[in-house]
Amino acid sequence: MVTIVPSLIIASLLGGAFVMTAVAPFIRRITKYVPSIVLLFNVLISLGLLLKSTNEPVVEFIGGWEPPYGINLVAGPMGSFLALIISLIAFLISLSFLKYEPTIEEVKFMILFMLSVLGASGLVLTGDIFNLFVFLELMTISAYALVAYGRGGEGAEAGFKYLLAGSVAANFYLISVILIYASLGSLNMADLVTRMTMLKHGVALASMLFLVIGFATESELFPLHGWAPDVYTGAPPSIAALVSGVLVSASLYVLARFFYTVFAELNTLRSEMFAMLMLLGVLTVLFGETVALVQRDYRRMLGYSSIGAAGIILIGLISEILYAFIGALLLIVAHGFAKVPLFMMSKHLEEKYGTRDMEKVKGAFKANPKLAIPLVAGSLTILGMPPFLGFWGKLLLIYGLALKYPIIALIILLASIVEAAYYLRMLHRLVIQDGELKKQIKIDTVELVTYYAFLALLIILGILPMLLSPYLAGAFIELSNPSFYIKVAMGVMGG
Amino acid sequence: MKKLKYVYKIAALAIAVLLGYMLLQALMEIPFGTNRMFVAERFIFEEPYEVGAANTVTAIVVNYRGFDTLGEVTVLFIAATGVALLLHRERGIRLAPTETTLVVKTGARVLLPAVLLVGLYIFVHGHLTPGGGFPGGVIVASALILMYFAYEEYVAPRSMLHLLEGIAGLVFVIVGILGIIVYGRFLQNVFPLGDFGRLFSAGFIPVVYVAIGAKVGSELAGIIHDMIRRGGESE
Amino acid sequence: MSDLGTLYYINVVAMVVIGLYIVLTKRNVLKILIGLDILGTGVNLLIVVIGYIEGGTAPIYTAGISPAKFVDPLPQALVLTAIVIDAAVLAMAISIAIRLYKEFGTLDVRKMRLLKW
Repeated sequence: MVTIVPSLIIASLLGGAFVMTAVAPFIRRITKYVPSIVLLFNVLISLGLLLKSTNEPVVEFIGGWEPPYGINLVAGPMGSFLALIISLIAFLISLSFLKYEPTIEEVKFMILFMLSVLGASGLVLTGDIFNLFVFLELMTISAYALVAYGRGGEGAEAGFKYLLAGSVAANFYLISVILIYASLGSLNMADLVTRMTMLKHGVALASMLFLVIGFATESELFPLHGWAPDVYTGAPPSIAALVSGVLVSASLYVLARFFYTVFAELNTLRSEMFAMLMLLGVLTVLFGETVALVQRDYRRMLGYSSIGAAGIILIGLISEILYAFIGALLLIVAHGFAKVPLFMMSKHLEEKYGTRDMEKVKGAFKANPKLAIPLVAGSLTILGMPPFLGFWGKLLLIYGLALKYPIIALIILLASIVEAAYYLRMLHRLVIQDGELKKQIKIDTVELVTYYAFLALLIILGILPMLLSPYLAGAFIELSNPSFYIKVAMGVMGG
Repeated sequence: MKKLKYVYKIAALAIAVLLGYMLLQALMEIPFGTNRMFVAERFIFEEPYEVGAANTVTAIVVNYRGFDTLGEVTVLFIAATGVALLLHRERGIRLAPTETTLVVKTGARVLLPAVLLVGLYIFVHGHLTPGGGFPGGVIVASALILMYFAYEEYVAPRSMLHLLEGIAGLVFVIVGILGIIVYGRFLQNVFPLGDFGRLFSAGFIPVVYVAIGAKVGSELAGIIHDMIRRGGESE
Repeated sequence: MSDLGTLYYINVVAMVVIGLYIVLTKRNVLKILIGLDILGTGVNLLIVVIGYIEGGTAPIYTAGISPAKFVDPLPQALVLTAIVIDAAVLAMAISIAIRLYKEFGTLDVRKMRLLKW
């Protein structure tokens, strides 16, 4: 029986990682191809899942135990869309590994990279709240090591901060899971939706609070963002991009999933959670974009810009407005894609000039148009300029919000202007301004391919956003309509 | 400056206490010691027929929620890999080498097979008695600590440990994929359930637990090795 | 509610509060990690405690014990996972601490200021 099942994503990544471990001491050269092959396979699998998701979504009962007894992987429109984006970003990043002639440490680095992606993919696919905890830990623990692998003291320091924030957050989430299990005796999301009404008020409040604190930390929301700027500065550039584009988006998804699905029947609690998340979102946008304005360090600026973006995406995701929701999903894609080349640029800066201070590297990319193009295009995507995908994201998000929450829409508009100010200033410094730096930066072809692939995707999707629209609308239906999700997750719909 | 620190500490305490209070409020609404099982009822009463393991916890850990356990094994794998990644810069320096006497050395050699056997026993019988792959693996790994204590020149066969680690992990994944091939579902049991309470029973549980035991053992041994020898790779 | 239950619950809450306080205020890397472990152990204790049933026995089929008396086996399975994850985090944390000591020559987080705290 050959069918596409979501667990193939998990199994292939795990199998790849184990094969790499086993053979690395003996035949090291072939290991560098494993991540790209496995992740390409995952892109295809998740594409298949996404294509099926609107008509007959695939749900898999792991071990053959139906919910609520076993763990189910639900490839609804939302889950499979995010899984596709995650696999795609990871695949394109993994292409840049091909330039290694890997040492044993680099093999380990690649293994951890794959496992972090595995955690993120599992996080968006699983339908079980404890399994979600396991995938959260998979995703973050491998990220701690990857971040701490960053150069010198900065990497270790950032890794340690991330580890502290991340483990406390995960423990908080676990408390929330246990409170729910202790009251209801079940761990399956779809099964919990209807049982939730039996939850006593104190338990419901505490579990919501611990959940929000935990995942607000993971998704770098103000005032729990403390780890994020340092991680973006200290981590290896590809990992900074992974955290910004994949890990944070997956955590934001979890907040949305609990808000829309698990807590769907608890009206008062839900409005409290809505107010909390909206407030966190607005504060995060304001904080991130303002602080980014005063940064001189290239990567720190990108980091604060990522924090601001997380706020914007969160607002869109939980707004319960179709357009804003679709805009937020498009922004996840646009932001995730664009931040990879942007973060990778800092690697070239550091390797060539040993600094990330934008004042000291004026005109660094002027003599390097091959690198300047992705830098400019990535920045324009983040700013929401056509013809890139970011344009549709911001447009729909602000338009949707303006219908119901005009003030928040205005705030986001203002934040976008601030964003434009510092991105254009950065471009002016690095690309336009004349400096003494006229050196050519040596680049690998593989890396260029990575950058331009992201660029091509952003432009194609920017011109043809309707390619995605049925799935984005499907995702909105899945979230705003819990009974649809229950039907999918219990296997009533499709296979 | 000093005053600021004081304020910070008070604020931290206030936050911690506030969260603790919220938790306590919630816990007071959950009666202690009463039966609230819903999902678990089936695990207890149907498990002998569905999974066939005398130890219900094992049935849940490996079969009903085997996916969690796969993740859990992977978390340990990540830890082993991550420790090796982070400590690679300091190669081959033995930390705190200690001179040991003949008594310790002989004792270690005598105890080594016994410790390995106990570990093996525990993970092979995981579906029948308390224990299983994780405790068994830890005991196996402790044999390595014993060797490190007794012999200062001892070096673990790191490459072999990696090979064992990888293969054991692959066994688990392959057992899972067999489920996909036969039933279209990951980790579905394709092995016969056997006689309840016997060693060869409970479907894939013994297979998976031996793999987990080998994996946990080799991973923890690897972590110990990396921390003591600081990444001395025997390439 | 039995007194035993209250005692356990207070114990759990106390461990969570103490762990959190240590993580937030201590300045030594190893002390922070001890705090993190106390927090984690508190949560694990909570998982075990909520599975207990008055007068229950270990959920293993043995001659002469009725399965109706078993305690809830699911939290025991969950706590196994949680404990292993805690151990993994700790191993990772300690190796990062070793790196930190190598780079900075100290375990005092106030002296690690390459990045702004």
